[in-house]
Amino acid sequence: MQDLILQSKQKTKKKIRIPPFIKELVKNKTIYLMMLPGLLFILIVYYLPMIGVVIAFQEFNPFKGIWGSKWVGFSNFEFLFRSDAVWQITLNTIVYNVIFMVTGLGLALAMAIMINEISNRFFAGFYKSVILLPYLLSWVVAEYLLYSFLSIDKGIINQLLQAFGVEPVQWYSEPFYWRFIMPAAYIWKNVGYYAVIFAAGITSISPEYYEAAKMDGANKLQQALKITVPMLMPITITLVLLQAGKIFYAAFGDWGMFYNLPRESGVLFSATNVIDTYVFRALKQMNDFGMSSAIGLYQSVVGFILVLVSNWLIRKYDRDSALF
Amino acid sequence: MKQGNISRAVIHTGFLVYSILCLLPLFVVLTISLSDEQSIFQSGYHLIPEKISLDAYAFIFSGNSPIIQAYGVTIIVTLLGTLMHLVISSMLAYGLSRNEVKYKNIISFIVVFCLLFNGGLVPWYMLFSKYLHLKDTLLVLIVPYLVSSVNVLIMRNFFRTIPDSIVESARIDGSGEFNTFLRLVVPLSTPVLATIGLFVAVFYWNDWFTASLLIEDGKLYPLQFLLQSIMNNIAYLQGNALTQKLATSLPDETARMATCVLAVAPIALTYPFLQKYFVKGLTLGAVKA
Amino acid sequence: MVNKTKTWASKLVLLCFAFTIVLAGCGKDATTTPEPTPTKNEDKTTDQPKESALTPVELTYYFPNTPQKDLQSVEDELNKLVQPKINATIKLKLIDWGSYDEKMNVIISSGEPYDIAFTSTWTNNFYQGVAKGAFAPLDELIEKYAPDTKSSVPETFWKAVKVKGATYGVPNFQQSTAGYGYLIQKSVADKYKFDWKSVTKLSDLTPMLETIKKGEPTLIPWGYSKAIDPFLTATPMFHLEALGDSKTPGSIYLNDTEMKVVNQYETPEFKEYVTMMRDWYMKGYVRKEAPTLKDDQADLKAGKVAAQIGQIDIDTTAFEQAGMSAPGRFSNSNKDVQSYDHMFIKPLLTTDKAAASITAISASSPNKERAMMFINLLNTDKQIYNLINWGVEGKHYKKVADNRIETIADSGFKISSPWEFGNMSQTYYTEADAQGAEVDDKGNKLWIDLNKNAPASNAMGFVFDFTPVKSEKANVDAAIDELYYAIATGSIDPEKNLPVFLNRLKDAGADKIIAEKQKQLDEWRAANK
Repeated sequence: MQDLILQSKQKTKKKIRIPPFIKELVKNKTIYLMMLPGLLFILIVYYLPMIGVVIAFQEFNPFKGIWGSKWVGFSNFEFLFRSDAVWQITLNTIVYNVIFMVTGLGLALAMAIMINEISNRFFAGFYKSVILLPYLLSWVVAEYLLYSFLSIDKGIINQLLQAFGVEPVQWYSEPFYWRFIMPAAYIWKNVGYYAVIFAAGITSISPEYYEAAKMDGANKLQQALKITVPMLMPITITLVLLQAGKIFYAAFGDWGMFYNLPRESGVLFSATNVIDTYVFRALKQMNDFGMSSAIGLYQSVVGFILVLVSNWLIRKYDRDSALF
Repeated sequence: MKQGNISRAVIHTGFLVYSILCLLPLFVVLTISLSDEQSIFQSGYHLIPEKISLDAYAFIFSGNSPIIQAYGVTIIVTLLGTLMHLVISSMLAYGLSRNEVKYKNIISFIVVFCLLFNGGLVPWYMLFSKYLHLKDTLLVLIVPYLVSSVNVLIMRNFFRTIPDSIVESARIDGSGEFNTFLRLVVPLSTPVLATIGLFVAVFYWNDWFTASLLIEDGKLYPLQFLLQSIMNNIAYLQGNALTQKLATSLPDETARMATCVLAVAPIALTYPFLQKYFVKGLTLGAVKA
Repeated sequence: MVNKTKTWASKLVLLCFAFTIVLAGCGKDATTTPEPTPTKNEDKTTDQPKESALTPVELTYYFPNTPQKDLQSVEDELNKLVQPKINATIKLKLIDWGSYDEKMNVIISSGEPYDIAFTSTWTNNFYQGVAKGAFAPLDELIEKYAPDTKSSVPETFWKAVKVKGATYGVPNFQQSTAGYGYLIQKSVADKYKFDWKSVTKLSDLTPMLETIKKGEPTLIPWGYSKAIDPFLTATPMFHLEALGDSKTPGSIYLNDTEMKVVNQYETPEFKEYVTMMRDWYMKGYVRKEAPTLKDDQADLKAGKVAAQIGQIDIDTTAFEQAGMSAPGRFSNSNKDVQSYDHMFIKPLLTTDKAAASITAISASSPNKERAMMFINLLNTDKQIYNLINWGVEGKHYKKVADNRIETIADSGFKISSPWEFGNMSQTYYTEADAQGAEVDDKGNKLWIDLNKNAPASNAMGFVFDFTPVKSEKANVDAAIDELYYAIATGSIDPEKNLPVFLNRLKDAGADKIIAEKQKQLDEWRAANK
């Protein structure tokens, strides 16, 4: 970058026409220099790996590298589309995330409205703090917490069931229950976070609207539905978009719950395997980078489509809130 | 009026129940960690320990436990990572918020696009292990997360709300661009920086994923990864701490839970003091988003 | 607007392109770094090995074991011994049993440079590694730097590490002919007067486990973890011989001279086994967590396991007959717990046993010569071999007799796997070995004789190349990971789920793998007859 600047300086002396690109860099050089580390980081850590998607189309040989490996077209994807697994994990991913968003945001909205009804500031603050706490814990910790309840021979729930003479449940071998445990765990961990954001949104709504509604004889429920919910729509949309973007971001997303909570119990896969866990396991177990990259690419493409679709839906509803 | 009272009572009970649901699991893990190993082996976990014992904690702190080392790793990673994340991301965000920067749109696009598409796990792994040679170093726990597009966008939006006139007046006073940022913009933006900082810190504190792929040396295990490894194999905690006396009453179930308690403790203990920043920060994010 | 985005796009493409070039540069850099080796090579051919003219290097050595607190002091001590001899320092990379396979998978697939690794037929699969080009061919290096090692290991072992005419690993000379049986805590067996010698199959244990369950509430009657799954680790108990690895469908019956490849999960033996396990699981003989347990070392260390499967070469009876009294294998994990070891399946030499412990050099290693020198030391230098096995004298063990040591409890280093590094005939005897074994090296002679005399199986030497069916294998592996352990531990009802599992295997392409195995096996037979 500095070379560029130097060069451009020499060029000015020679009175050669300076490209506007360089002119601009020189003019705001401090700002560009400030942006440089972040920009370089993004290009290296986020963009460089994008070149790596070509591995998915190769019979990847680590010793020949990306440039020397044999191209094999789509044959790395063969195994993926020949098994039912791909449909199962895609369906699980989408269905769970829809459930998460609907129930999570819905509940959070209800909670936020109720919190704002509490006039006692101490209690309101106390509830906000407590419901936000699980958001700060990791899914690894959550695994421990859940395990203390669900452990088959020691867990609290099975102890209770036995005390009432009910047959204990094989929690870690019965996929059925996990279709409910997963959303419950998600709500437990995240709903506080959404509720606090919503509650903040509500306080920023001008009280005049409510006054007017009261004059018209609207009750609390009507006020909530007619004023609060629509006014919170922009925040909701942002949250949905963020969530959609996060679904497929290994380190940031909530997929840790699918990896940690079921304790890698194979029988539960039909209810707990999502694209992310599949990709993670493929990387570690498949012994073939071509095939594991193929799944990785599949994940990226599905994620890309999902973001586009949710953006399109939002655009239809409200042009300004859309991401692009 | 009466109706109001009833609905208020319902709301309070609802929140109390939910609050208990939030706290109960933590309480259970705590009580298990304080139980006697033998009683757990025979009759399982209980809400209230049948027999109280501090064996698990004595065992963990008997000098042979890797947990202290793991604390060290996690604290360094969290502090350094958060600081660097804030510095690098905020400088980028500041540039994007300035109107005079002609290429801010294309750069914004570069920032946003990586939210939409990524190369996948395999190239990501190869980048850090093979090309950047960061595998099995402390740095690898920090470096992959120094910039997050979302945080850059939130900061950019916040910086935009700082009136141009303030920045302009500083410029007229002869303050350099970087100085303006450091002395004027950063102090004005402490709320957003504090919030993002807190959440980034929580992220670094809770990260197990990076270590599971890129760390092999037991001395570099961060807390969460140690915790996960212990869940799979208690031997990570034991090392070889097997004294002859303890042989049959080795507290592994309770020690496991005690480790979990120790991992949560810093968050749980500092949270009452920090919670208002979390809540306030979220509030800010919501209004600005 | 459209125009604007177009110019953006073109600029972005340009940028990406620029970075591709940068990456290409990086990539080349990374691949050229190992190149200095040829020059070193020349150095060595002119000098005698072990000459100080060698430039100092660091060798990374990956091997699986239980995590050790005090690995560092062993590494330091090791380097004090190794450095003067070959001017190399060793970086010991100990990965726990449960994740070794996965770690090495990723390391090999990405081509990261490392030098030495433990490989075998049961973890970090040797033959798959060779097929992927992960290991360096070693014939020349062995000739040049490890002639002593070559002569100290019998020819049968060298045969097992030869693929298509080239040697890809140095076999660790160890008890390779284990039979199978079970271990039971001495105190328990004595207390209830079990007739532990009369057991001839696993189901004979049921009444004993019932007694233990009733009378010993602090014990787990039957120890289990994925790592010691009887059906996968003790195939001869089910009259089967694995071809390649025991998990992938396709095995042959031991006594089948026709060598018809069958799906081991469809055999009546498997059905009978899982039905018994279901019974055991429901009665609480195994831990309820069994299907998710990767390792039961912790239970063993705590002395909580009453009985479990064992790979046994010399059992308690055999030791008694040889005039030695053995504390039994449970004492490897906890020296206060003694066991009776009883073998009821006789030893047999199979390919996966002969290749059960190998040290290989990575194809990506920049210092292959030095790595071979180190492997030679492990095989011929008793001091170095015992250091890596038992730790530092005075710190991790006490010497009690000429060739016998006693490990120090709570010392932070105890890996107890003498079969894992180099030539096992060099090992010290410990409190886990039979009394009197060190006299005239009787203990070692016993297993060396067994190695010589064990009969070879029908398919000894056959190696399965799965590359033609790799996508079927990926799907079959996924189905096995999903359902196998739940069925094999009895945590779900086999009556209902075994047919589901078999269907899943079929859909995933198990039959194609079996057909491919049959084809390769027939070709192999034709070539070897």
